[in-house]
Amino acid sequence: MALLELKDINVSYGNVQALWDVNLKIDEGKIVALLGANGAGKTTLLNTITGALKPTSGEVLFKGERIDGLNPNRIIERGISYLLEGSRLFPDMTIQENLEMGAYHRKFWSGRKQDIERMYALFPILEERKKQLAKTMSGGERQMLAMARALMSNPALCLFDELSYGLSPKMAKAVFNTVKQLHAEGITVFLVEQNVRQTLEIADYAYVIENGRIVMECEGCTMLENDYIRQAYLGI
Amino acid sequence: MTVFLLVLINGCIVGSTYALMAMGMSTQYGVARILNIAHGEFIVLAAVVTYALQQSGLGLHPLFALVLACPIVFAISYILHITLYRRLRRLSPNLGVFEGNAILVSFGIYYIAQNLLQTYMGAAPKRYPFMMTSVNIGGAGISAAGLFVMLIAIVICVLYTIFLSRTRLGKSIRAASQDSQAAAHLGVKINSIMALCFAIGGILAACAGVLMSMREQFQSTSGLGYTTIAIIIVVLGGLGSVKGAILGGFILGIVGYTVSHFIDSVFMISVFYMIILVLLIVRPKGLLGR
Ligand SMILES: Nc1ncnc2c1ncn2[C@@H]1O[C@H](COP(=O)(O)OP(=O)(O)O)[C@@H](O)[C@H]1O
Ligand SMILES: [Mg+2]
Repeated sequence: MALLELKDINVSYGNVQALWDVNLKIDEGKIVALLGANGAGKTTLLNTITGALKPTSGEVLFKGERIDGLNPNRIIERGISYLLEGSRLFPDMTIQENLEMGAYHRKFWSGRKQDIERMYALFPILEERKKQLAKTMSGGERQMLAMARALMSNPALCLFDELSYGLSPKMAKAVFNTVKQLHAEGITVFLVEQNVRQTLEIADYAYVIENGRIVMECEGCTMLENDYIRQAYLGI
Repeated sequence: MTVFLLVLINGCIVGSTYALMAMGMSTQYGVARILNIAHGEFIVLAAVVTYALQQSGLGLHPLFALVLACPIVFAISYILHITLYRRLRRLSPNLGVFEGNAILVSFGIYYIAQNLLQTYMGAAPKRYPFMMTSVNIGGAGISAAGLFVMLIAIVICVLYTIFLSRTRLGKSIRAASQDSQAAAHLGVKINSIMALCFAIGGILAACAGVLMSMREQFQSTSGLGYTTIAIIIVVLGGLGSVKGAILGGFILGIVGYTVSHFIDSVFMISVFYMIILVLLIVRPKGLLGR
């Protein structure tokens, strides 16, 4: 059984349909990628999984149970953590407070001290600067903090929306390395990206979305050799 | 020197209740995005509750009115939010439209509340005797009631900032005001937090009203004046910033007292608006705004 499964999902904004019959599976312990250009429907898909949008038809199953229609706070409680596009930190809160907010849900709040220590071990830079406001951080550091905040609830599944967007190649590399590290620790990651090459290098499985439809899926590395992907997304 | 002390201390006395009013307005705007024109009416409501309690002959300290006024205003504000503003927010296509509509709705509530207050208390100014002595500080004669009011107001400001910075609920309020969508995905129930913040803003208005009534007269039409001052302070301090509201409150209190002491109190609001005009040109986000 897949950890997360989307079955025939359709989503609309008013009269405009944004997702069409999306079927997708994320197996436990894997890095699964969703690739697509701007406006393809990637964020819409994540918002549907996390309860911000309700599908007009179809099912979202997590650990075999239906979760479509649940509110975001029920979703996080079940073990799905969502890092929104653009890191979305709380700029006027300290790094430590941002981490605490990752454990806001009652289920995680009492354990927040240990979780913060765990995050400091994973991201030492955060501990050095824990009393500073999040708005003082650079782009790469922000994504590190955003990832740490998403991990505070000990999720079974992490949804990362465009982690590498706007980062320098060096920072992007560091961020992808962190994803690999999380994966090595057994966390399942759903990586939503426009950065095709680097994503496919670490993904176990990948989907391609165009105009709200899944148009291709396969093992990560085989996609790198696919002619269509090479032409349309890698420009070679 | 004595004049300086007089102006400074009296300015801070005035400013301390200004800070409470503005903190309330800022809390309501910060998360719920409602610039509440009816804010001042709740200040007057709390003041009149205090006045009624003093007239009742029970011999209670006016501070006791907090126990009555705070729950009343909290309940009214909370109900207003979940019935009116929540629906309005759902019907508005985006936040900008909602903010505009919310101001209009709060204008409506202002008129209704103002009418009810006027019917209940008439037009005559209200005042009750409280700590009528004055205290000599460095040669300046300062009203004891004023000092008492300032002390309590400062205690409330400090408690409220501690609440915001230390507690789980306080942190979620700050988070929601900085990025409500991100907060929602961490499990913060935004709808409840918005209603709660609107009601907490009401409580702060009630505190301001109870304290204000201890040292100055008020009447059924005083509300809009309080609202105007609160808006000016909130813009001065930075929209949605609670620390800015406290700082702005004290600054405006001191400036206002200086103007009324040396020139005439009728110029007070004009001077406040001049400060805002300059500020909006030089630093549009306010003193401590984001
Ligand atoms: N809140 C919204 N209201 C209406 N249309 C939207 C909204 N958000 C996204 N869309 C539309 O849905 C489509 C998919 O958007 P999105 O999921 O954000 O794409 P991506 O994340 O892949 O860049 C786009 O055509 C976009 O214009
Ligand atoms: Mg997107």
